[in-house]
Amino acid sequence: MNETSLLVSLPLIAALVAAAWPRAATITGVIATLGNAGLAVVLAIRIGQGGAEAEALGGWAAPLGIGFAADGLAALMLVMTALVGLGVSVQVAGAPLPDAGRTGQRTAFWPLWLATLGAMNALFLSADLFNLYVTFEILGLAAVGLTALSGTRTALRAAFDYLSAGLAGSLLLLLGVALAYATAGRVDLAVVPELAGSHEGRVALGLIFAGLAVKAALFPLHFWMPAAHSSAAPEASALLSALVVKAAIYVALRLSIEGGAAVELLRLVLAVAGAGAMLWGAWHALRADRLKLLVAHSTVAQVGLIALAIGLTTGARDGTIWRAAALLMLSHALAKAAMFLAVGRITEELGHDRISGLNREELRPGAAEFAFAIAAISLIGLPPTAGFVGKWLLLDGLIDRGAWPWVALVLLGTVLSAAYLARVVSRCLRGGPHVAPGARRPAWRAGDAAALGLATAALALGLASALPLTLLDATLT
Amino acid sequence: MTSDLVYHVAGAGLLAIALWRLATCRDTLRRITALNVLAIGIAMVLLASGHDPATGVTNPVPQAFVLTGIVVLVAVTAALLALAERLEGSSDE
Amino acid sequence: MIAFDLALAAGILLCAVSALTRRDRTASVAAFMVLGLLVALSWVRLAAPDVALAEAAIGAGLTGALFLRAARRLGPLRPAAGRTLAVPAALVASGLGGGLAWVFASASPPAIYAPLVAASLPESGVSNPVTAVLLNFRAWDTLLEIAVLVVALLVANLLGSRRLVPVSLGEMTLPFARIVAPISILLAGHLLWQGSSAPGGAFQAGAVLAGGLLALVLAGLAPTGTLVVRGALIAGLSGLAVFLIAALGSEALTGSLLGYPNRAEKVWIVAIEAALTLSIAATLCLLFTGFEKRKTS
Repeated sequence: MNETSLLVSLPLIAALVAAAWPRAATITGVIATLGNAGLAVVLAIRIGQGGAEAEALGGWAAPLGIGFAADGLAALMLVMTALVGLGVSVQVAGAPLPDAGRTGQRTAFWPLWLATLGAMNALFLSADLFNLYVTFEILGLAAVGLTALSGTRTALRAAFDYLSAGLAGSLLLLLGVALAYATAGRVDLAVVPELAGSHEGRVALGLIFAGLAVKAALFPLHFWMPAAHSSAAPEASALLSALVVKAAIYVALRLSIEGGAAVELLRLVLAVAGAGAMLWGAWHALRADRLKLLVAHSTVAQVGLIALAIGLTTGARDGTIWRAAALLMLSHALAKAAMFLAVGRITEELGHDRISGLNREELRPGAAEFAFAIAAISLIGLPPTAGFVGKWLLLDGLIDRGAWPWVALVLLGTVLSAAYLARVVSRCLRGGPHVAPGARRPAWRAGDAAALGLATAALALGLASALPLTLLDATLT
Repeated sequence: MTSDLVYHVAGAGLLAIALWRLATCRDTLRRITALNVLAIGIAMVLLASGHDPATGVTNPVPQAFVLTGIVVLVAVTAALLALAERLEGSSDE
Repeated sequence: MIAFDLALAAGILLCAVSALTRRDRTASVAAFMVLGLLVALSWVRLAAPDVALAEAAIGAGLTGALFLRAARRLGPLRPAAGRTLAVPAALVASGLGGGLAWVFASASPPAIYAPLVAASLPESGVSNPVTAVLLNFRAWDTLLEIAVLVVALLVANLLGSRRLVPVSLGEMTLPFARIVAPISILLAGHLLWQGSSAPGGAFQAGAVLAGGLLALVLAGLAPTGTLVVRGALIAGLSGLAVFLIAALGSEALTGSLLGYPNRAEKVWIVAIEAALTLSIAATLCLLFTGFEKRKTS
């Protein structure tokens, strides 16, 4: 049996099992997440060695049928999802999440996460615009379930806004797909270059990008996101911020690679919105008074950086910049998941997440603070992290092209991210005279291991960045 | 003027009404209704595009898209309404 | 017929305006349901009877019922905060609408799908092209669509929406339900079977069956104990399970995910559709009746 089929079906089967037998949910969830990671790695190795693979589902070739395109970019995203999912699963298996106060069994997380995983895998592999719309709907609903998991009024309010914004985004996407059909008569991904060639097609692409921008929380359509990501449980926020947002960015990147230079206006809008997001997110992160809000606004800024890179991509031939975007997605996923898990642990130890109250004298910094610091280094883009490699490639590509204003913007964004993350790191890691002699050390939990593991992965990927870059060479164009 | 054009215009009209309501109204139920009207508008322009006035046949693929869209929409609507009702309930507590 | 189309389009737009502007919630929902029925009529005019059936049953019927339930629970519309934005928003929206109408009307799709469907239909195992697309050519879309229903069920279960308490609707309810429920079962079976060759299929059949079940529930004739709700939940999950197992099973047999074995396509499709019908009926029913909410405090 093919890995791609198993990657899209096993998580869904596991989700059904976990929903039908809540008692077996945790064990099912952990096994499925582990199995998924194994499958993703096997597939990535095969693609890295043998090149991209395409499959026609049911034997019906596109455009009538739906195709799977398992290439380097898709494989990288699959592995990214698997890794982040493993980290979060370790944390949740160790400390189960409450579920909105209904059953009290604390197992509702698992079917929702497994459905998210199945939808993300299906989305990364899909080569059909309408199929992408359906995967987005599963993803959107499951993500809303994860947001509402804690059951507090704020979380429910955020979940409602999230779902209505998500639905509006999906409908924009669907309208774009409808116009793509009306223009070109088909909706497989290979139609994108054709769409880029006509006025109606460009409007269709514009609508699709607008829908994706809502889903990716790209400035100025990010209004729903900080509330959703800061009011959910930290484990859910880690999944939402690290993974779910990436799904829309991934599709935007794929469309940019396919559509290339022809959609210049659209790309410019994307890049400008990205720049706006970097500044807006950073400004709010600088002013945030709560730790989770700071991390959520930092996602707005980081999504902006990635969107900027995608907007400046002029097609597959311009290899550096889209590779930079892919690496930035990977490094942001690992670092942001680590960061949210660390925030969850810090909040648990302190009993609050006010930034002003982080430097308490009676508590020594623990593993979570350390993980936060490593993740921050990767997000800022300091060597030797994956974030550094991504930013370096981006700047390299921009300098080659002589796009100095964009270089300046990226550097400004970097300085700002260093500034807002330093607000936390400087307080977290205070040692020496600031810590009272009898200060206690936080107890070791599974969440610390998960946060540290993900942060270390972001660090290690910087040292071994040749691996993802080779994988990206096997991308369909 | 063909009947396809009538439905294109009617579909776009539904889109416009729904977008206007989404922009001007904060009431949860009304927003959900507006999203449903938006989806109907999309379905209408999609089907009108798939309709071939010469043969009178509508392409089955857009028909399948619209059918899928209807089912997906009722699922999301049910979830939205459940959230809205739960929110309403928790404000009383 | 152009006059009929024009009148229908005008009626649709009027209903939409009414559904989105009436201050009385019930009137607004009623307008929405009429809108659904008129839209279903327009889809008959656009030669899409499968979609018309689904719209009438799901779009107008079930969505309308869900809205009515929400209208009762949410209470009256609160007065709007400010109307200053209404005029500019109306201008922008009508501009967008006009633009979209122009782009859609000026684009004419090249015939790509139609010849492909016509050429592949004999191999699909069914003769209704819409069913062929839904359950064979693009069955993966449909599988994921069922997954959307399952996730909606999970979210509703998580939120534990209040269980609907049947209220006495008058003395005709019981006989009404006793007639409607068996008819709906017959009709669902008919729609399911005829879906392979004529308009109909799992979604329409599932929606009709759900309607019959709801009539029983509302008349207080159906048991609504915790065990029944749990059984319905399992039934709701089972459709996706069968579909996934069929997908993997067909891959084991033919080497292609959702590639049914040659000449056995119809058996596979009807079997999957039968499972989907039951599961869709259970899911739609549960989404409407809700789950028991255990008070934690």
